[in-house]
Amino acid sequence: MRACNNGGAMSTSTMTRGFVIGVTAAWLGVYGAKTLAAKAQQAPTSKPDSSGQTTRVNNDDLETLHVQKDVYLIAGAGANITVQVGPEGLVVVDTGDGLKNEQVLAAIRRLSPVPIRFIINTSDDSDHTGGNQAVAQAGSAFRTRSSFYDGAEVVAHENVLKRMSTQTPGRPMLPEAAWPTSTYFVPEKDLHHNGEAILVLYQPAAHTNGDSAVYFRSSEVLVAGDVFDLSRYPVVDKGRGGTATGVINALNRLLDIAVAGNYEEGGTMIIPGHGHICDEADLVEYRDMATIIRDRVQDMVKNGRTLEQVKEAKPSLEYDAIYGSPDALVEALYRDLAAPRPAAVKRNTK
Amino acid sequence: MLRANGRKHRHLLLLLAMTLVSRSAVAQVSLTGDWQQTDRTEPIIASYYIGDFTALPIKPAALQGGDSWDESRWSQPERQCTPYGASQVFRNAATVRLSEERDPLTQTLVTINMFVSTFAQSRTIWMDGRPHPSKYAAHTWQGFSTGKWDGNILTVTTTHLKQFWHRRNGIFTSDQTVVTEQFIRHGNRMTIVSMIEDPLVLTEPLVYSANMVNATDVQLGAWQTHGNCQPDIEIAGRPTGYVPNVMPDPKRGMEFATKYGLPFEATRGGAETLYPEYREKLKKLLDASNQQAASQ
Repeated sequence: MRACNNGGAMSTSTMTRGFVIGVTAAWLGVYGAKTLAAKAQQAPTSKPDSSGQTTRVNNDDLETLHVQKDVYLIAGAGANITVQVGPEGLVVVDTGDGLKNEQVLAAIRRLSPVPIRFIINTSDDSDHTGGNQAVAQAGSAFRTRSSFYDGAEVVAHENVLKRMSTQTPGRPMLPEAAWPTSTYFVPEKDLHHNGEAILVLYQPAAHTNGDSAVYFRSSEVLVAGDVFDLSRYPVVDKGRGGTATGVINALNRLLDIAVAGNYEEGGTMIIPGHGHICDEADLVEYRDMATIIRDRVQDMVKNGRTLEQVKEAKPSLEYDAIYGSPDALVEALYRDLAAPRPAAVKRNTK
Repeated sequence: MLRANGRKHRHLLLLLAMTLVSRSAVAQVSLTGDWQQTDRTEPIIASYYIGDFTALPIKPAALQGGDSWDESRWSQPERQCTPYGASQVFRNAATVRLSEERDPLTQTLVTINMFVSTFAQSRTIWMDGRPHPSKYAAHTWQGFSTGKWDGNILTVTTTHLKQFWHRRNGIFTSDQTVVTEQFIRHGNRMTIVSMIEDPLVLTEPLVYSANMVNATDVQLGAWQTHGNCQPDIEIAGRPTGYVPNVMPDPKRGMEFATKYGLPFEATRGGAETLYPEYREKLKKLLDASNQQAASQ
């Protein structure tokens, strides 16, 4: 298969090529600089996205992008905020860090004036739940037996409620108006809203022990939460019941749900906890990264290496420029993989 | 000293190139038509040995991806149908069809459209001055391209590219990659020069070129059927989430170095290996390698 034309003559041809490449690079650099300078002078207020759809740029640095069918992304207020739009009212997945509540509500209102019916939290992280109170109070749930509260219904795993309603070191107890009003403890909670099935899927012991993914089935949009975070390595919060192997399991579950479009592009769109809109191809790169690092740490653990030795071996080196410091992830993996396994129960076969 | 002389020569050539460009930059040309690739400055990206990182200006950290590469990654269902992205299209045996879309009232050029036969990829090059999308917009294999005429040279800038491969033996790109291409038509032929900037993986731009000839008898049908790639489980029995890889081991590249009589160090890439000055270093490395072999 390979064009084997660079055997003995390779050194010369490579150098000649390099010389030409160097000249061309400098030459192109002139044009590139010109192009960039010209581009920088055009500050847009309304942008097309890659598929030619409009991105609304608010004056407050928030951006609203159409993801697919009835689902939109509001970015720039902490974690990504997802909004499902329809005649029965809005579903909002995560509410940001709470520092830009007015802007977030304005962005939601620009999408639709109908009431906000549901908020779904993918975890209890403050950058996902900080706007709960403001967004919930701006909405109104359907009047059902569970609607003891004013405002929108807030859905989350029960562990999210436990933590939000408990005083913990370093984090004050949040006001009751921000708490989930509808929790679940089973593997999956189903909703049907705006003519669409919405699956709230528990991701056990992953980033925390209260993670949910949200799948808008007919819009084909999967909201991943922080198990999939393009801005950094997966964060494993041991104090809140997270495990590194749980994160990898969660990523694999998301991949099981996602179906790629033609030539591994589009199809199910995935909104990560942080970062740009993704699809299966982007998710598989992240899953592969986490799995490869896991495999390397596992190999070293099997060979009796200490945590310090594993860190010194730099098991994530090629990814560090993209995802930053790997220390917390490596520690979490080591913790999971080096932990003594429970002894097998002896069965009486007689 | 050698490096200084090399730089001097490069500057002179740069001036010469710019002079030639400015003399020919008299009018915008049309690139419309079918184009068949005739040659390129790199071997086909798909066919590299494990350990062949020659002529890649990569950061040393990127080597770890190559040193742990398992070719079986291509058997993953999610990778079986991945096409070549915009940064790689012309490093393959591409055949492309270029067409234009103009405003029906003003006949102003709005887009140049490119259909690439391999994996039936379509690229849209926006010529209407629109900005690139938000950083939160989805990334695609072909990215988001805008173009601008400089005389008869079309300069195209592409962002929002998916993570792919600088070389398909473990050297991946980041999704921050920006590709700047120049399409230069000379009558019936066209040169395409691509500059790939990836500050997270490369220490300097990766530049290559390809030549194409305008053809009227091109067969674009080989890949053009929409949906003709259906991924499947190729290797049974793998556990859920299995990702083929091996523990990083630079020695795996020795086979490639030995096969081509190269010093191992030269196969490890790096910007230094792109420049003529490296020739002297390579000679010394080869001499040392030969002496070592003779003494054994």
